Amino acid sequence: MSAKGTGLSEEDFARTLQARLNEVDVPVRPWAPARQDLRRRLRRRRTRSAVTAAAVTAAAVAAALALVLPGQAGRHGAAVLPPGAGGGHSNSSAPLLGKVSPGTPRVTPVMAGQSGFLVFVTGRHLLGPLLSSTDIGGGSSDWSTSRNDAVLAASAKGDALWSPAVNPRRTMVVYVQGSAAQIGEFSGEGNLVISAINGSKPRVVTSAGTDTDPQWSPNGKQIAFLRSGVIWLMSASGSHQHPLGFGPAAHTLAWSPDGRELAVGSGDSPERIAIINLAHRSFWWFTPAGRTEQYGPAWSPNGKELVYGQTGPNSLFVSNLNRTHVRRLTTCRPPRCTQDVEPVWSPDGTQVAFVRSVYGVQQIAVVPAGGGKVRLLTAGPDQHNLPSW
Amino acid sequence: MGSGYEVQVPSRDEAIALLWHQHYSGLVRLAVGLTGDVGAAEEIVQDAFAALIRRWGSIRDPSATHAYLLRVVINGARGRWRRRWRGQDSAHESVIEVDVDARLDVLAAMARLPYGKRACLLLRFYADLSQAQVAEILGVSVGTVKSQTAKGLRELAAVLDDSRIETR
Repeated sequence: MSAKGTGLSEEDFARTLQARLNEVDVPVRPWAPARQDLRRRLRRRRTRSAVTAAAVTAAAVAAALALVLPGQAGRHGAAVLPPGAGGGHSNSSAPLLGKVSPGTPRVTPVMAGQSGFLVFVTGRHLLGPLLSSTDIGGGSSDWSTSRNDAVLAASAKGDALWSPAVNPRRTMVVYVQGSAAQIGEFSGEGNLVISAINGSKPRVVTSAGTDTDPQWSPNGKQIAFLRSGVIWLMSASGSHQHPLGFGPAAHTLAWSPDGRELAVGSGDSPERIAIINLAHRSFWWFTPAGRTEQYGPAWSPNGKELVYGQTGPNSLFVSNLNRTHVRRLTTCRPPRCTQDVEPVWSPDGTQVAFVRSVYGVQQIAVVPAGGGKVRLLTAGPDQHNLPSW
Repeated sequence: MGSGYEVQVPSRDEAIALLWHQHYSGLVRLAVGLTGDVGAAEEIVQDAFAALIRRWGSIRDPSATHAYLLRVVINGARGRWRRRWRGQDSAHESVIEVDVDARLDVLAAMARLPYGKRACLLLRFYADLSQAQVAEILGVSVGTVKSQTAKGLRELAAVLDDSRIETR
């Protein structure tokens, strides 16, 4: 096959290469189960997006640590626990749906306000086989009675609402509205709707049908969102829509507390973190290209550090912006712990809440931001997700 | 909907199912050529399909989906390769049996090439793409593809010669 000095003939090489690779035993993977696995991958990413949204809005205002407890259902799906409280488990309400995939948050609160005000997606599991719509509700923090919540936006038949975000002054809410199939099964995409905080005067402000993950700037004047992996900006009223012109695909985004920068989970595979300077229209890679993925960036309240997860050790890391000081925040040791994800910095900067997979079950945990002992706030067989301060 | 003569556009799910049937094993084999590891290759290709689903709305040209998958696989495998060389991947056995016997293993030889040349050779001669298509997927000029391919083949010949000499 080789001829000294003359190199290989292209035909010979092509034949040899094809024969050799076709010998390789590739397991047969039928589409149907593979599809389930792909959905899981996508949900994992979408969960990260929702959390960064929570992290940013929560940086401005905060009170309690809100947890999603999928064991509870419907309106009772979100619970508020003081940090340090143990085992926040569902106590009464039976699930509305008979069959729910494990690991999927049924309810997604995305903002805990100063008085515990919370906007969340309620009532209808996005992937439930029986139901096809979701509503967005809001109310006080007293979810155990859950009498003060109101449906801010009800979905039409076959539609779903997703990814609500409240502006810093808590006067408006933006959310995604789309077909239930699109939102529930894939990437949470749809059109953006802006309404008053009480749900009145909703206006559909985009029409691409592939918008997701809207997030208010810290000054409340702009909304950043993703359209098919491209970052777009618009004004608080939905006008002046324009793409940011950031090249690589973006999966998650997080405003810096001063509103000057965006931290973006980016790249197709492996995913890494970029920081975009909005004034200069420039970006730099916060984490290097390499063998691991970095995900779920969240800013410290002072904007000087980022906390993020990294595959490989599957643990959380904290780094200053110029990456001269990178420190490991958590150590996740298999088989007990398989992954730490969804970090959220507490507004006072002293703690980081995150989700730790303990023997495959996702639990909410807290660790001092300076490093130290990891404390699990939840326990039991239910999956817990999406912490938000 | 409407008249019976409308063109049936497959849904995203149907379209992706078709792509999966057509390209899954081929893409995995390509990724094996890049990483030498079936487990890692499968992971990379599945990630690529997840990325495709996520980006579906932005892909206007259906014929571009295969190129998109190839690009994501090439980018994804780059990271895996480094990990393997740093000796941190213990989950899967390599399919390449380097230095086992005198049998010339083209994959083992390719493993010694720099990543870019390996990717070029695989896209040209395994995926059977034109130089222009390879250039577009790798984001380089056609001239670069030509020179990388030629140099890659030359280096490969040298490696194969070397291994033959070494194992004699």
